[in-house]
Amino acid sequence: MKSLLWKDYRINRLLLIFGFVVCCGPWVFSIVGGDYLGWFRYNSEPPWRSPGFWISTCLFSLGLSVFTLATLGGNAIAAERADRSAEFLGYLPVSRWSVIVSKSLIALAAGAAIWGVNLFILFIVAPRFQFSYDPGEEMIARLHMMFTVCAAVSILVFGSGWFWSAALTSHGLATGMSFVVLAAVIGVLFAVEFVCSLERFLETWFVSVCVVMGIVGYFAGCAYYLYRLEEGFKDLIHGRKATA
Amino acid sequence: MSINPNSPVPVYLQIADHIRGAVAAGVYRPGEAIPSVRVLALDLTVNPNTVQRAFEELEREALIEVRKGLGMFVAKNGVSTAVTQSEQAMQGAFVQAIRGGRAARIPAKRIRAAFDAAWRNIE
Amino acid sequence: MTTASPTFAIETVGLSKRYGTKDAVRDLSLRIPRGEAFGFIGPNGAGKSTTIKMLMGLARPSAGEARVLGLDATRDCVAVKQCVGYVPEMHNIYRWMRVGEVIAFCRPLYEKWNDRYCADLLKLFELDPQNKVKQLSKGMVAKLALLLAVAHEPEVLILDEPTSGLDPVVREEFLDGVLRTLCERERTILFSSHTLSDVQRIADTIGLIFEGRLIDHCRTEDLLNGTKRIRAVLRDGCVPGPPPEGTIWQRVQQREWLITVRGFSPSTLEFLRTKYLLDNIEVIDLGLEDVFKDLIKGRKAAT
Repeated sequence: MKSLLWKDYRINRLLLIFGFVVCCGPWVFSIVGGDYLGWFRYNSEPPWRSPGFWISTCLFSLGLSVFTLATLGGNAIAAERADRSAEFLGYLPVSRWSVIVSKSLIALAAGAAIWGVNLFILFIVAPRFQFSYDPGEEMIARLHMMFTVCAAVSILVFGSGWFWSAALTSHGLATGMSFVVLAAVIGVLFAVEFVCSLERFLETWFVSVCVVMGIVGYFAGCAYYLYRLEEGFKDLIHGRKATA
Repeated sequence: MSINPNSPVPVYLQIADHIRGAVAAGVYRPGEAIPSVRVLALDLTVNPNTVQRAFEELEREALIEVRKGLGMFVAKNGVSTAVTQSEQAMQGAFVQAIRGGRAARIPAKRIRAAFDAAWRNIE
Repeated sequence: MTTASPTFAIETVGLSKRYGTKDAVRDLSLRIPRGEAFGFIGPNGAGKSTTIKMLMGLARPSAGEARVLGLDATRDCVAVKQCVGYVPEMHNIYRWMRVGEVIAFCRPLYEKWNDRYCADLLKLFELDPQNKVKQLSKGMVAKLALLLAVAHEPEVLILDEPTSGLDPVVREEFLDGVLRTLCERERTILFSSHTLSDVQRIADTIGLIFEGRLIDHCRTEDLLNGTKRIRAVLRDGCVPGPPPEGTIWQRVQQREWLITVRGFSPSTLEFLRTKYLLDNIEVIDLGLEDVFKDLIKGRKAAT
């Protein structure tokens, strides 16, 4: 298991570094731009006196990390299939379960790190600064809703990326498909909302559909991966030729 | 020595022929050890089982003998056995040649003459 | 790993595989005793690779079963891979890894691993652990694949066209490496190739597969000793009729009648002499290459 984790870490190393940059970049940008360059100064006070600064930077970081999670999901299985190293893995005495657990652990760790860093800053670091005004209940409630939506979109994008990754051979396509799914969900749900005008649309309907589809995508991807054997292109082509 | 994998003669017989020839030529003298299965197998890039079969063949002909724990040795009358065997092989080659001649409808007299001519050529 | 010790290292019963409407392997029953070196030959696309993939649990049989050391190749595929070393035709080792990293990656996956043997092979194959796999030549990657396949001292070694695309020198080195592992201790080898000279060097027995069917399985020398080509010259007016028993291929050109017979005996000649008016008849020895070609040509003509 340890060597599988090492391998999955090494395969995703570039992506993880990218994910780290995308996660921490907004914070660096906000602090440097906000204080040193004075872009976000409000009433000539440093930006960290305002709760809005913390909240918007956090959402910015989490929003950008959606791309990281989509790519993590999309790369998971298809990347190894694309360079055919999945076949090499097939010769080794590892169960497909452990392969998938290792991949999931890496993705889970990355997701947890991204959210962990942001929540840590928002809930542990931020309150240590003296705010120039009180955020107020309405702002907190809006924040919670934004968190839920962001988490739901992340789950959907990761889960559908994972599913397409299990089904396809191209990891780029799998990542792209995860956004196609997201766009489809948004399109369909907003159309439904337009027609039926659902109550509490965003926080209940949108969030639950995203979460359910994401989780279903993840497990369907796992099941498909466990069922599918890496038979290689050669045989598939042979088979196709014969049927043609 | 090298093995010809495309020859109709099975590889193990080719190895046996080779060792027989080496004994007849005095490369390995009676009482001397011959290379082990492993060494020969790696040397010729053939399966050790195949070399083993060649040794079994030679042992059956009493050309070599096993000394327990020591390996294979050329038997006391190994040379004469090898010469006899080589003689037979030569005869086989003659038979082939004569058959070929007869297939081409060359009369017996002229086949004999061809043999004498070949002999003179070598001399 | 194996509690029971089955007589056969590899055993398939009625093994079949369909891809779409094409039968890649049809009703293949094969038994390879332990310690035997088996050469698996057949033209491209005959089903060699597919059979091997099913033995390795990389493809699911459509029917029948494949057992390796008594273990079901599909159900117990992880256990099978523990005791099998496999060298495929295409070596898809992680290209970004260094040679040392590949070894460190594979080592913990196996229950046993012989570090000394591994180090010896690294030296023998002149592989530098610092080199990246993508920098290695095709021959070096093949050698690395062989090293990975034997360092865990498997009981069974399966080689699927391992020398295809290698230059003669590397090919020789590779075969030498295979033979070294054979010399270490008794191992069962399944060696698939269409390079017959390689097969003849390694194999004790030969299995010939054509269009998914196993059409012959015997000792190499039995195939050579038992298969002869007969060249008969017909007398004027004599028309060739039914060929002798065991004919696998025949051709008539003018007065010349060529017949390749499997299971040749003096009675084969007797049959021809009594049945037909012949001017001449001779027996020609065949190399493995010719035997193989005639078997395939005969099969093709029959279908």
